[in-house]
Amino acid sequence: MRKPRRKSRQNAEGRRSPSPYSLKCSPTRETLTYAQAQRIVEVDIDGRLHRISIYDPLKIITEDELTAQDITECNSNKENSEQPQFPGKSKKPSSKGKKKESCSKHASGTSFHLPQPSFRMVDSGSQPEAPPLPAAYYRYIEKPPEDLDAEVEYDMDEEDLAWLDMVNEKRRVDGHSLVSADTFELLVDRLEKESYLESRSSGAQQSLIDEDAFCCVCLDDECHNSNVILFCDICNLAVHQECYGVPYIPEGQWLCRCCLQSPSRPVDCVLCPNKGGAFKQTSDGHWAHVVCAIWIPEVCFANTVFLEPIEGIDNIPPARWKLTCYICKQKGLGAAIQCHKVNCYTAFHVTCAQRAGLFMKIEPMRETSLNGTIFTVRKTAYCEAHSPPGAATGRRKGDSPGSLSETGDEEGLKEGCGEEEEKEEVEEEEEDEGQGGVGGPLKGVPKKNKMTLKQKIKKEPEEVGRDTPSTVPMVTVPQIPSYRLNKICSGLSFQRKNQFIQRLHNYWLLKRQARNGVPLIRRLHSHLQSQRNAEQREQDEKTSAVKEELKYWQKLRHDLERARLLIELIRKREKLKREQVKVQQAAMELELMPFNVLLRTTLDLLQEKDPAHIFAEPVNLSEVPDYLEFISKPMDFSTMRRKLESHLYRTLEEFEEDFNLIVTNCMKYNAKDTIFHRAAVRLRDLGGAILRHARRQAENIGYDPERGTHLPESPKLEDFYRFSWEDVDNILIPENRAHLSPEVQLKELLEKLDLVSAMRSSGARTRRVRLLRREINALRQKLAQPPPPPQPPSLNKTVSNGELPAVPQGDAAVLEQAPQEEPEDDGDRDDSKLPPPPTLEPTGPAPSLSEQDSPPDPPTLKPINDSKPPSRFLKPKKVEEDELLEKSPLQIGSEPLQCLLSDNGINRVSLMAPDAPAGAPLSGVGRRTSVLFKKAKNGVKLQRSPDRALENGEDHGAVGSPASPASIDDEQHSRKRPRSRSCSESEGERSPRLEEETGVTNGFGKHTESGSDSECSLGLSGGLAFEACSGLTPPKRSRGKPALSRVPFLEGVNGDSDYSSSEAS
Amino acid sequence: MATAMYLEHYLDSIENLPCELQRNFQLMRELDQRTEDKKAEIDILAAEYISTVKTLSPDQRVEHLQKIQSAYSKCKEYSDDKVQLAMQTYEMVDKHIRRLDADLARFEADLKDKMEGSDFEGSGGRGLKKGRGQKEKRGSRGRGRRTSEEDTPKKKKHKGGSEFTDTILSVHPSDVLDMPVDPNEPTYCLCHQVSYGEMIGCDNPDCPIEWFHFACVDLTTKPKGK
Repeated sequence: MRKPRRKSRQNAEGRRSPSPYSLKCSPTRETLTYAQAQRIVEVDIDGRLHRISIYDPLKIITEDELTAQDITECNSNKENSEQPQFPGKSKKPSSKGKKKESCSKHASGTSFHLPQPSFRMVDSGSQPEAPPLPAAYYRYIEKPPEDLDAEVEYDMDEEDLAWLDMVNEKRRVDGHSLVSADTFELLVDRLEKESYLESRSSGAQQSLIDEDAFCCVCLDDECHNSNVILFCDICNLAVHQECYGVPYIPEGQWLCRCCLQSPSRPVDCVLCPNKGGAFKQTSDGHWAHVVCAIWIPEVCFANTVFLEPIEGIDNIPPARWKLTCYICKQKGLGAAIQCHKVNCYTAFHVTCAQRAGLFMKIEPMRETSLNGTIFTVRKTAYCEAHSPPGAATGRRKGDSPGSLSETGDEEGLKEGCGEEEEKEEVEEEEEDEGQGGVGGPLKGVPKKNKMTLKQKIKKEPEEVGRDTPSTVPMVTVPQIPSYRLNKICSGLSFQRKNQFIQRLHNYWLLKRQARNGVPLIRRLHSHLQSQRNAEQREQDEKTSAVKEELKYWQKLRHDLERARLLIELIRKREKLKREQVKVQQAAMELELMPFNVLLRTTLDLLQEKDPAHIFAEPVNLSEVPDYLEFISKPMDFSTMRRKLESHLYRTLEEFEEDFNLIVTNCMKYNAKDTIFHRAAVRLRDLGGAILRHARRQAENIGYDPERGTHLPESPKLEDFYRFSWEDVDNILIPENRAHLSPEVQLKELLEKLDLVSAMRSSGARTRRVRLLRREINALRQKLAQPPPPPQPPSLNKTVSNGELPAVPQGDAAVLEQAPQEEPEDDGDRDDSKLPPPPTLEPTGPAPSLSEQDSPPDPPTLKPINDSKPPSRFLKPKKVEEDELLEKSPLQIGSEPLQCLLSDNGINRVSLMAPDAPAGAPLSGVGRRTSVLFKKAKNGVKLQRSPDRALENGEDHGAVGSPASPASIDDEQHSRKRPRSRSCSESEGERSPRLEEETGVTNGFGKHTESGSDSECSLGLSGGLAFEACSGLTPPKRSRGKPALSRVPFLEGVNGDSDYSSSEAS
Repeated sequence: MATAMYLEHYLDSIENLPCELQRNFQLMRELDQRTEDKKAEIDILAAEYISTVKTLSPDQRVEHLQKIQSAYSKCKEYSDDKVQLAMQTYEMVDKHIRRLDADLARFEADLKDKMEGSDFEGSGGRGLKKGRGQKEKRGSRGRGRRTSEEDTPKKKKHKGGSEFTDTILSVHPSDVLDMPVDPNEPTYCLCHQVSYGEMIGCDNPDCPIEWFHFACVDLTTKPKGK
């Protein structure tokens, strides 16, 4: 766009033509008459108007005379230095320079006489009416594209003008009318717009990225993510990021340097004659190709990252400037490099070589070469003749190097000429300045160049077709179909129109190509861009809209999430509330009937001690019809519970009474060696502890027996659980508690036992527990048999005995069993009429005791076995079960045993007295037990094991005693007795035990395991069979008879026998 | 937008949600009120009982206590109802959320397709430059995120859908990442943290904690069975 500039320059010159006449034009100067004006020079310095008469002598002041006092003077002085050149040139100040000069001359002359201000009031002066301002702001409204399309937007530049002049010259020679510049502009404008429409209609794709674009620096089309090919948004120049020094891709548009800094003017390289390509500025403000800078050894980049500015052009030796490029055959245009082959001095421009496709290889270390540190060019750039074989061809796609070089050559030539013209123009302008003529650029153009240009133009049409792809950056100029061309020029009429149009079109094509296909009208270019941008924007809007929507949904999602969270919290809250209600209910219960709660928990604990649920339900009277005959007040846990729920227990005593009732009933009804009896004993023992604990709690908490609620004030708490081992030890020594009654002592001891048991287990604890137990047992025995005078010593004896063998179970068992015997016997007999205990005791230590007992048992079995062989086969399953049961838990016994032992003691204390009168009933009880046994059998397994263990204990005792010969005699007796007995006591539990006993006693070789098994099964089956029998046999008889028969000797002999004890219960 | 038809449908479906929620909450509130009433009644009964217990025969006592008992059982019933209701409501919202997640995933997939397509045609002008910029954009995606897992725990360990939702949400994590952490978010597990990652539910319906982090119970994979 050179033209507008020139135009404006012309305008400016016109306006400023500094004749006095023009000065007079300003309103203030109108006051001067013509004659005055002729004689006066007006100078405007710093806004002040100076009028200097031409007749005034102007004093010439040299620089030396100047002082720095006056700045204005300083200013004028500068011009003074130029003064000598001008004065003679022309009298009339015809140029600005002159005027200034003169003024400065005058100014310097009159500098000390400031002009007097002179003014006059102007009456006649009338201000031109200013048009009223619109209310609104002025706004620039872009014309719609349709309007713009109708206008002629194209402005000619120098090139166009030169071309047009040439064409017109020719036309004139040919005698045709000239083509005006306006017509030219119009036509070009049309062409541009047509092509724009064309490009638009033919689809945007055409103008889009060319896939095979290659960097015009390295001629490579590789494109990595880190080193992409960039396209200048104006000239469509394609360069690698690295090749052009663009480390970061900017947002928005990217322009190459020359489009950025010299957008309207094509730049040319100082190092070569070729145009186009990637330029960078040199340090002195010229331009050069990046490639040239890379390849010419003396040149380098100041900044190796941004690859600018190009430095070292001054370093290029003159010889290099003088080399003649063998490709473009031009000399003195730019610096050339030489073939690297030794002795080959062929020179070529870098860009020429590039276009010619010469072998130019940069070493693998391209970065370093880019950095300007190492130039491997010499090694790798060869002229065509010396190119390594096979290297030259691969360079360019499609086109042969020859044709390319030629086109490149021609283009270069042509463009070079263009450049020359321009350069010359500039020079001429400078030269012509003095002559005052506004030198038309055309005037100075050498004729030779003009001719070549013309030739060029003629040639061009043929070339256009194949020319396009060869230019370094791919240029796509939309072709305008001929009918369009016709249409374009239809509105015009001048001679030889078609020829002109043809030429113009070609010229236009070339021009477009020279500009890399960028539209010549800026608007269209930017429009193209803005169109793209608009599309982009549309796209962006769309995506942003979608994103908005997405955001909306996500917000919704978020809200839902929060809702869910809230509901989750609500759910949790409700759950907690539910829990709260439950807790509240429990609390209310505690508040309203705390006593009941205590009783209930106690009851639960008690029931826990009855895992077989033997005592859970009332005795089924249909199963044991005779139960009520023995038991006046049946009791069980469920009844207790019912009573409890009906608030019938007012005090803990009532509750305890019922519990004791359960135990005593059971012990009373069942024979001593039944599981039931044992269970009862065990329950009594464990339950005793629980009840004691409950009592303590009740005392501590304090209940109102009337209401079953808490007392208004809690009773004073004595810290029951605080104690020391000393207390325990103290109480263990009999002398320390001698002053107390035995009952109190027992109570004391039991409490201590509870206490100690509650302690964490330790050596001290176990020892003391043992000691306490022993003491308690001793006390119980003492309590149990107060009357007989000889007993105390004997008791002591047993105790002392017991102390000795604390470890062996058998002995302990026997020892404890022995005392049990005595009271029962007492109870049974009511007196010491028959005093077996004394007789027993003196006989010696435990072994002898059991010695006597054990023998009678084995014989009892034998008859049973004999009598009931068949039943064995009837119930093999049962046998197996029992076998299992009996075999397994031999070892577990020790602890339960101890418990039981102490229980026995309690039992005696609490129960003996009332039971004693009812002592007579003997055998009938067994029936119930057997029934129960059948019922409980499966459920009782757990419970049986301890029992079993106990039995084993006894067995051991039995084993320990040497089988005495006397036992044979007993056998005879017992043969009778067991009969009756087995009738009466036919219970499953019993017989197996006996069998085993026999098994073991006789086991000194006689009985094999199988034997014992079979016996066991026999015993069981016998028991079962007898159960049936017993149902038939009248209880009275069964009861009465053995009682009679047994009394004298059996009891006496079997001090340890369980029968007797079971009878007692 | 035509592509988001299912989202429109979703909007329709969710329209009722607030009403339903309100209804449920209303119901819960009513139940709560009734529970409170009952509790007041119980208090009165209790006071009465305590004042008169001395004069009451065991039968009367039992009778009185029975009354309190029945009131309590009513309370419990209401509480159960409330919990049930809360669970229902939760399920309802959860269902909606799951649907929305699925729809969103679909939407995003569509969007991605479309974007990619339009990028292809639209980016040509900017050439490789643009393609690059886009790549950068893509790079910023794909961070793990807490909220995505947020909903996984709600589906019990055997829920196959959790992976599904995970994949959905990991597609677009950044946006939901912005979700502020709710300070009231319920906590779970032994560690009393909010839910994250995979969680395992206690099979005990009365378990007070209910959900445990895999890591806190030394699990890496969900155990079979209960």
